[in-house]
Amino acid sequence: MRKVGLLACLLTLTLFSAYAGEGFLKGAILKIDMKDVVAERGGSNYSITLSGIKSSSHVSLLSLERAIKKAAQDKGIAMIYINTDKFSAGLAPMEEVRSYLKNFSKAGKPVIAYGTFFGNGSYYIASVADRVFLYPTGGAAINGLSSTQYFLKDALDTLGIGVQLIRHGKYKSAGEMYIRNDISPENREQYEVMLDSIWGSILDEIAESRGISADDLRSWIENLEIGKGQTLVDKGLVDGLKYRDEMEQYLCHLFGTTEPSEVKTVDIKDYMKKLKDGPSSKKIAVVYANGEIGEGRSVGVKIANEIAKVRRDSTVKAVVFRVNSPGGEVTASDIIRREIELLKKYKPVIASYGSYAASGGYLISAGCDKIFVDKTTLTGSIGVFGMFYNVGGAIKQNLKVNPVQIGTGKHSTMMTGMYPLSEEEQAWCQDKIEKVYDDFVTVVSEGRNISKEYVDSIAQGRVWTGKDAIDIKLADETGTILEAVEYAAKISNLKKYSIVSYPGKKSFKEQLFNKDDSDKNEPLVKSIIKPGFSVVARMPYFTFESETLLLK
Amino acid sequence: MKKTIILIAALLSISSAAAYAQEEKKDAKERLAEIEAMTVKAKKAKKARFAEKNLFDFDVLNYSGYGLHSISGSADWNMGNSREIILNILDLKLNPTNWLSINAGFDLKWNKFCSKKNYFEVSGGALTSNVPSLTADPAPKYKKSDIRTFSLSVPASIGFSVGKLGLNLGVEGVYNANKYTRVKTRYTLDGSEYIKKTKGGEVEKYQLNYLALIRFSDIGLYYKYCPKPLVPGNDMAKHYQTIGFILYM
Repeated sequence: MRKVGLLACLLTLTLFSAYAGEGFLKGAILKIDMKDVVAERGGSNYSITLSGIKSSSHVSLLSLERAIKKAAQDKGIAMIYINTDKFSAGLAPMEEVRSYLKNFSKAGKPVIAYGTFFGNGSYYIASVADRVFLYPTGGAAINGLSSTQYFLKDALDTLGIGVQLIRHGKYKSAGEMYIRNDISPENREQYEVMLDSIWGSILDEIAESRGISADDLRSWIENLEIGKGQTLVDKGLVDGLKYRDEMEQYLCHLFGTTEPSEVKTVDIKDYMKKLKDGPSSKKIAVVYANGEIGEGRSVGVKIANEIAKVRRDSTVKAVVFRVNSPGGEVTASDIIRREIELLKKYKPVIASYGSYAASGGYLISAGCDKIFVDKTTLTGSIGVFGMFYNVGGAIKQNLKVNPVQIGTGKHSTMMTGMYPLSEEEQAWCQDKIEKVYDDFVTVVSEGRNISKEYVDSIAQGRVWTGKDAIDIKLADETGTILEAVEYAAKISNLKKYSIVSYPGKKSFKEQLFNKDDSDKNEPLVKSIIKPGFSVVARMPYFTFESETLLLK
Repeated sequence: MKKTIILIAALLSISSAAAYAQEEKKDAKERLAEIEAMTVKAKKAKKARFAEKNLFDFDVLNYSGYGLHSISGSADWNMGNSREIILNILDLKLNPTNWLSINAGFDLKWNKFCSKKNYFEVSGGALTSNVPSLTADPAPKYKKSDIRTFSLSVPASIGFSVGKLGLNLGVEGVYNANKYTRVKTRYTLDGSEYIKKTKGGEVEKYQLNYLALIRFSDIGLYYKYCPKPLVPGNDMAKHYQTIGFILYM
């Protein structure tokens, strides 16, 4: 009896002391600096510039999500501090990171954001924090999203370059820039809907986080009422204005001290290194299709070979196919699609979409067992177009060079790119395009288990946001890349596993000397002067695709 | 009584657990608001017990010193006039921690070993100590006779410091440059004063002294012990001790 009493007293004392200890934060600050680019793949990227070899460090989105999720349960981490200055990241990554920060906060641990200036993207991230602080002389430029498209018909006519666009899909606007001087009504409609949908999502999330009305927020933006720091405080968008030393003191206060040296901080990149994987005999492979699809592009036959490798690897139990591609060449896309089809026979394949999974990017992944998207993902664009450039007129007009062609038959010079296609040849190309389109629709129909007629009605080259794509059955649910990995583990009955990325990372030498346009768009000039005919399933190029422009 | 205690303890435990669980569920924003309202007592800045030091220090002409020798041997030595003058040329310090240092240096030393009762002579290169003759006529009256040497010394020690107070323990390797050894004897004879200077003489070329130094700020008191005889094969100065002070510049 005495022992029971003693035990009870000890238990009481322990619990009391634990309770009495609550108050100031205990643990370390997990510091996230948003100037480090959050990219699909992490690591250092090297490139040769005029001033020497430049290296830029990228933080892997998957590792970042895992780290934040772990930190929410880690008793050694008391809070997250985000510096949003020099922010650079894509839409989808930011949406995903934001959701994990929100969950971190729901675990009872605060998130504090600080910046010297807020743009669309940096404020989108900062707004999820429990406290948002701004440098006193800073401000904000939260003005909404925009898209700028360039139309080159007159310019090409001036140069004497001819372009013939053969397509299926009234919304398949990728080639319009070469044959029109203005935007088509269909194109305008789809981008207006897209931009409104994305911006609406962003505003709703910001409003919810800040406890303000989305309509009020929209009104302030429309009327340019958000600019100066104090205005942001008055409207509840920011919790206070602090100089850097004041910010430091505030953080010290949270830990019950006035000495910065007594507050421990851990950088997210160091914290990420501590992420532990399970046994290597049970793997989940994350295959990245990042960039434009085509031979010599970042997503080419090499990806198909990697998928075949994954299929043959018996230690890989499930696959997450992370797609971040605006599309590209049809044949290359189909080669990858076929490998995914074969892979599915052996193990579950879950698609996870990043900023884009459109056109060819959608073709390669439509057959996956499940598709996770972000609300801001751009997908769909189920359509095909062919571009035929002819430069015979241009070289005659500008260079005074007269090409003369001799061929064995009526159509032997068809693909030389010297002269426009005849009507008969155009019809032939159109027939080819129709076949490709029909194949595309069939792939989507079979992959998504919906009728071809329905697919045709939502296709026509139209681009959809992730949120809308779920409504029209092109995708299954919203979810991050980490959620896709966890889902893959769940359906494979894996409790402990390691995550392996494919393809492997490029070596220093490969990075310097190999062309990799995964994060770059094809230069305008290069795309103009490529004579010949190519069938492409790709989203159009325009400034909207530059996510940093979108969210800066 | 026992039952009452147990019951109270159990009730307290349950309520503490419930309160703790409630604390855990608190919203991050609410928690922040509570913490922001709390007061933080400013702590007094701790005085640094150990001053921050560089890992490696390097000084030139860091100190000079003066010490008095107490010599034990067959000769009758005069402590008040037996001295060394030290001039530091190079002083190196490795500070692995704020309180520990490893020191080494390079000094120049000028020594004088003086007797007022004996006189020293150089005979065939060897130094000898002589007692004045009682029977010589006329008999010189010796005032002072000293052996002067010039040395290069390499002190090496481990130092411990707390604030301005420091203690060094180590050794000093000495090279006596016999080329510069000389004897100077002052005496009177028949009412006239004479100074006899003789170059040469051999003292022990290499010596290893034990060294202890206490330092406070820029002043140090040191003690050295030289176990080796000053003159090889001669017991005039079998061993000697030195006490002196160091001034850091």
